[in-house]
Amino acid sequence: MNLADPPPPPSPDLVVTGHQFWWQANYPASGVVTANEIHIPTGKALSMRLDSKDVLHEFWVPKLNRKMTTVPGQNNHIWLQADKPGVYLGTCSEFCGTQHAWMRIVVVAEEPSKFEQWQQAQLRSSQAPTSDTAVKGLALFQTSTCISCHAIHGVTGADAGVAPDLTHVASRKQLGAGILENTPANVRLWLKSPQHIKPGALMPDFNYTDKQLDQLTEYLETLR
Amino acid sequence: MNGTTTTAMFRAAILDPAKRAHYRLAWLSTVDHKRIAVLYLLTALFFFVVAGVEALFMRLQLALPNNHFLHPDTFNQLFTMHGTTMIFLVVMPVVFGFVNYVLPLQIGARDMAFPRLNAFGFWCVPLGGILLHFSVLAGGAPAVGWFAYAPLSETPYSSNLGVDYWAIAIFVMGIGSISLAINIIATVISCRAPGMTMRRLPLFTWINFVNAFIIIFALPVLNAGLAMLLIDRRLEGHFFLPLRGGSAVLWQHVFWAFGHPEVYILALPAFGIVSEIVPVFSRKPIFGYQFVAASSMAIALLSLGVWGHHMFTVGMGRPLDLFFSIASMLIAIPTGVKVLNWTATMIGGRIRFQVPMLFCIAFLIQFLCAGITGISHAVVPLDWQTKNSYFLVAHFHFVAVGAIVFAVLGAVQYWFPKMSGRFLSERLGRWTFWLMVLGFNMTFIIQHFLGLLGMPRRVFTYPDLPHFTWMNMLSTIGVFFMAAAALVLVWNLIASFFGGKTAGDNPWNAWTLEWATTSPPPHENFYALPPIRSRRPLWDVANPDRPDPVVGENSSAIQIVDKNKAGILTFILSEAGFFATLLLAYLYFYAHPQPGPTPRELDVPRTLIFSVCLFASSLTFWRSEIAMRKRQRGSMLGWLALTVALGGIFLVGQGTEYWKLFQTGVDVSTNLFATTFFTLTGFHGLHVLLGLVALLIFLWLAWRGDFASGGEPAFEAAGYYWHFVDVVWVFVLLTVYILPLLR
Repeated sequence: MNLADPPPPPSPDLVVTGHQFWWQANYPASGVVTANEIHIPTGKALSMRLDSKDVLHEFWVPKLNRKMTTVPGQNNHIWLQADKPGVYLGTCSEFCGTQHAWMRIVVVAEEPSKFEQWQQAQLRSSQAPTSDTAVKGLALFQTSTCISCHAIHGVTGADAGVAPDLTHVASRKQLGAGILENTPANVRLWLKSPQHIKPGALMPDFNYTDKQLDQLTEYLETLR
Repeated sequence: MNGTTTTAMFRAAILDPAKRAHYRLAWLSTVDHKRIAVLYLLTALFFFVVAGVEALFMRLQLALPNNHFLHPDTFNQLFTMHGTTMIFLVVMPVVFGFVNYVLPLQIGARDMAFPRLNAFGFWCVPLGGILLHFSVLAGGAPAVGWFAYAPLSETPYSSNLGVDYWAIAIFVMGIGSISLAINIIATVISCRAPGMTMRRLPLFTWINFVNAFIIIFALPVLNAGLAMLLIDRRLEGHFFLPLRGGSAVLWQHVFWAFGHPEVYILALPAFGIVSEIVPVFSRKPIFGYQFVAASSMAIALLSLGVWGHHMFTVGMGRPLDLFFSIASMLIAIPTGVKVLNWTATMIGGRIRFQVPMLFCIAFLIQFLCAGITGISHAVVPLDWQTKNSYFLVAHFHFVAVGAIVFAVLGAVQYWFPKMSGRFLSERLGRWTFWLMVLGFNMTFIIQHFLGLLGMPRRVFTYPDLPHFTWMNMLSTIGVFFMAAAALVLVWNLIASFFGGKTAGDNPWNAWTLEWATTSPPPHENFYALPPIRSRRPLWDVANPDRPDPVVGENSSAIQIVDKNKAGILTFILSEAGFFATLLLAYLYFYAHPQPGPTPRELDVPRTLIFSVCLFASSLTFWRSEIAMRKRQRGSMLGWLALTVALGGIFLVGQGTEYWKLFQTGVDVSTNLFATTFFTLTGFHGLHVLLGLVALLIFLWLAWRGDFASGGEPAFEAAGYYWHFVDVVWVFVLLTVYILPLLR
């Protein structure tokens, strides 16, 4: 432990941005973009910049570091370090609106080599789906309004940053910033009615048919 | 009018049904401090039940993980309303009620200095309560937490009218609190009985006198902040909207510059209560009277400089963190002194373990815990972990409930006999006490640990993490014991009011003047006052052979400042705080310029001309005052009319400036310069306008022939206000018009 935090370096290792009601994480050096689940290498102090897209949020992973508010228009900085590998739970601790309770975050600390593997995997673009259902799911993703908010690297037109990046959504542990475990059944449940699962979340209900739900779910499950 | 006719008229009034209705209405139109006090207390009790039920619903929702009992929005509205209601509609009114009842009695006064202002101050509370709760019908209660952090509280993120009603309600209640504080200060300064010198004041009165000054300094800051928030929300200003260059952190500074002193505004009266009850029930004078009084002043002063400890996680930077950390730790010293005083008073005393004392003993222990967790929040690195967690929730409930509510419940038991003439039941009081002790500690001790485990505050539910579930369940069960305690209390109040044991004038053998009159006291409080030579006049009466040492000079004459002067000067202090906040906000954004209009658009020479008119009007008012004292009616009227005319010219000048800006498309929503400019000068203009109305009233009164006798304190008071408005303009002129020229 340092007596006082060292000053932040000019470019951070990690930029975490608070949104109502989810976390966006960017790794500027590698270009990885993910949401609600941060992977970090063990034994290294990461310089982390905090930003907000809307209201105040607060980044808090009790076992790893202090709280720090994300203030729109004011870049705050903290250090993030895990000495042992493991999954560390965190949460938004500044009240930010309806779903403040489900604005949780997972920090996965891994050995540097494993972290490097994860980073390489995250950098890959999504592959075109092969199964018939999944192809239909992708078409649905492009034609309904999904792409006006969500990005999927490798899908033309899907580059919006309003909602979580889905390029590797199936590799993440949780859905809806912590409200559901990430299983195919839960993905389907979420797509069926996000407003029922997480009322007040900014994703509206789309009233998909059962068939469409199967297609979308199957497609999203390919995004590893 | 002779005595017989008075009695006859009185009897007729009692017998005539129409007039009887009038007497019932007398509770609504009363200006008697005792009746107003009872109205405060009943209002507080009503909202205590409301906010308590809100808490019950929240704890039910949190009893189990992933619970769907309440909709998240409902939960968020509940905690916002619970916090706002408990602070502004329960604890403030309840302490104001006791102050209103007891303070004038303790200093041997007939009433507060300004009885009608007192009634006004009270009626602000129900008005605020209605406004706040009306939001439920107008689209939804506010759901932003009691400190309404921007930008969540701004229209893009809270678009219904909840926050507007919340802000207006608190604004109104703030005005009510300020008016009461003015009244308290003027009463203590100007209405003390002969012999009641400042050094002989009972500690409850002393502490509330000091407390009134915190109100005077803190509440106007909040009201300035609320005005800015409302300008943002309703007129599209940009104070706290980062998207438009505003600052979310500025709101936090403004809010907590009020919010932390507010904690002491609530806590100091509780200290006052304990400082009364502990000596009486230990059968000893308070240990270290001077230290209790002086430490209250130290707390008041320090409380104004500690707000930043609410903001250690917003990135204020190390120097500010350090400053606020040290200031916050310092405040533990005078607070610790008080705990020592109370404990030392009990040592060697013949303690009577009756209900008021039981509550005070529990207060001492729980307040000590609250203080220790409080200091932990002053330690920056600890605060980084515990802030915004259930540890914090537990801490401030230890302050608000464990300390303040317990002291208030002691006060209820202690002063109820004075108010009603009857004792509260000791047996039911014990039930309330033990149920409260059990319920309170069961609910809140465990929350410290929940916070340390990582449960954030203000979540409507939580995942099923290890220990979370049983801890939350235990906390919820505790609430039911507190609810039971509240039910027993209400039953006790009703049953004892109608059938309690008769109390007599001085049921506790206490020593302060409120016990020197009947229970309840007559309309103007005292038939006769005992001589006041020490801090315990009733002890001296009861023990003429061994009276307390005389405090200060043994003279019954005390210097009395005119109450109008005391009142207006206090009012001006509060207004100064309001304008200082607006000025600082102006300067803050002046240092961070935004694109769009700048101070260079302003017409400085023309403004200087009409400023001269305003400054000249101070001079003409002064001349008018001199003429009044010399009883030269014509000259007085002439100078006063000239004052009004000059003030009018100033307003016309400011109006033309606004008009020209509007013509060029600049209004309050254009950019931050415009927002701050119109807010600052607009509020000043509003004050000039109100001053003009007051001066016109005085002009009319003088025209009718009032003030013919020479000295008139009310006229002088209006003069102070008018000079103050001019002084504010000096600062505005320098800041807004002259400062940019120096660049």
